[in-house]
Amino acid sequence: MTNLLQGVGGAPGIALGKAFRYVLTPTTADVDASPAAALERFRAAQAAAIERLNALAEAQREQGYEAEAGIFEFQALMVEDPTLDDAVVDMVSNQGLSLDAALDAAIAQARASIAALDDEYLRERAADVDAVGMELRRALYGGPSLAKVPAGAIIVAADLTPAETVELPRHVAGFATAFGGPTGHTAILARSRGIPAVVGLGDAALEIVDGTSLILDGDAAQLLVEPTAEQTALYTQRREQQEADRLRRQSLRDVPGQLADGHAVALWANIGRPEEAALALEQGAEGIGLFRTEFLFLDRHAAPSEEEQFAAYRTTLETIAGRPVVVRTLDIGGDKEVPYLGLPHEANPFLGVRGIRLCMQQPELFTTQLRALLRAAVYGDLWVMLPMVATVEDVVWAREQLRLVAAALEAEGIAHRADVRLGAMIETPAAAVTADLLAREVAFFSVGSNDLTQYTMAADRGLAQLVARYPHDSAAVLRLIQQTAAAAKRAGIPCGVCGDLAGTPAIAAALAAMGIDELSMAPALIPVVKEHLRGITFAEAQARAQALMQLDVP
Amino acid sequence: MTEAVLEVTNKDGLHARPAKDLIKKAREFNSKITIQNLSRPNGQEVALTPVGLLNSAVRQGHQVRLRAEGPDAEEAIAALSQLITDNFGES
Repeated sequence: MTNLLQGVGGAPGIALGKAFRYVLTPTTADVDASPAAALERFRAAQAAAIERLNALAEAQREQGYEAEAGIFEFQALMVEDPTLDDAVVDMVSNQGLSLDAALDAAIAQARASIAALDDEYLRERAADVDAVGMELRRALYGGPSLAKVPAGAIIVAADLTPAETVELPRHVAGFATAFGGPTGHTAILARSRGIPAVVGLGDAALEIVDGTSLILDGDAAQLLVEPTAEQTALYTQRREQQEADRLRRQSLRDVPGQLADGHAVALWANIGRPEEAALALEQGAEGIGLFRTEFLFLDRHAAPSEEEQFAAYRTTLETIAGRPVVVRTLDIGGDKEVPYLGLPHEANPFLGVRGIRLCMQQPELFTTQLRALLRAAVYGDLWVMLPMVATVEDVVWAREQLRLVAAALEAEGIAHRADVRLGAMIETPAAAVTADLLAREVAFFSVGSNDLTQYTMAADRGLAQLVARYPHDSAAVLRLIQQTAAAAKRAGIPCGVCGDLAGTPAIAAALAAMGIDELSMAPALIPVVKEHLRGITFAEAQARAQALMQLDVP
Repeated sequence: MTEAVLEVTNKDGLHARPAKDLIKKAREFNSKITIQNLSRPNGQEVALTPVGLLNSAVRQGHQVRLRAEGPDAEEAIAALSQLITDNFGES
């Protein structure tokens, strides 16, 4: 019989320790003499829960965690939410339910309508309702104190509320829960605190006895119960390796990207939301090479206002504190559902009215975004990048729009920067092949290797079997990239890569040798790529590039 | 009855701290206050409570309608509108 439990997600890291059961159970003595007595107990529990949540909020506020304080205060208000309150009172007074059952039912009801919302972020707000339920239960039944957890223990629980995750003492080795999903707040908090965790292990986790030896593997989302001597030895070694890797990468964080012999290649980050800028900095990003702006336009019923956009761009620039931020103007086409744009159905949306072409058809959409960008540019080093460029005329049109927007802002007396760098994404074969012509019209290039591969290899990037045969590191694609980089060099403008190729260590080195100045990738990939680049000389990288482009074949 | 339609500019929408601020302010008045998220196709008019706000799922950029009924309805709407248009004290 296997001693391995499989979860659905968690937070990376390996922990070895003894289980500390943290499970709240109702005591059998909690049967009330009358509905009135039950409601009195309920009121007392409400008061206690509110006090505890407000105290937690205050503690968070003192440590400077304003956002977390707000969540606890919001939960405190929810403890006495009229909907929940009325439901519990009604079920206890008029339907003869016990307080336990009434509380469970009221929480479940409130949770159900929220969990059904069509948005990941909002489904997780249902966790707020759960947290309130757990705080009330804790107030009713009492529970073990997390502060008493012994050092090096692995906590085993049904689930942990934000309150409890925040209260976890520093010396906890990890935690494992029966419930919860990979993007739930428990997993998120564990990751941000760097505590190994596994969630969604199922009911079997609740049967683990206090003090049992456990090995937790957060990367694989696995829990080993009463491991053998061999398993213990294996995981101990893996844990030591991980720790050494982590320390090494951390020491490299502020060192700029370069090859072994010092050839510089900047490592930037791709982000899809302003919040990710902080993460990019943590991973040592020297700039943001691609700020995707679609989050402002998708999943809503009206176009984003200039103010809303301005706020998002400004926040990002302020977070990144002076490093460059390359913002890609909206890159939407017929493949996306955007009700307020009225996009007609297209037979080939990837070859259709998308990116800059859509902006030409709906110029006010583009103008609003440009206004917000030029206004935000005052707060940092903002570069503007155009998607789906195929001709010089595309760029000339966009540059004229930019000029008109700057002139309007000037006339209106609104603070802005007119001198932002305007660049083009090189993702169509046309752009790569005429890169020499485009290089005269823009201040920089960024190669979108994912779409460049799709259009060059004539293979839908969504079809796995095709992608395997016609991959992004094929000679054809890499030769186009080299051609682009060479044209950029001759014109004296920087050229970066922001597609998946940039974050693939072996190819990243080849790109550096081809003349690519900057590689932009998901923040988490930066440390790994940085380390790989430091281990390869320019000559070795050049040889690799030649081999990949099949230029070394006589 | 008094009402106002406003755009929510806070990056958290009406969740966490902004939600808490809005509800606390609403409690200062003696009127019945409701909120409706006009930017969601199924946005219902619900009481301005924590669960009601979670159900309204108001995100940044959404438009909401606040309505108040009672002795200090006008002041309530004015105060709540102020909070939202001031972006809850954030820049």
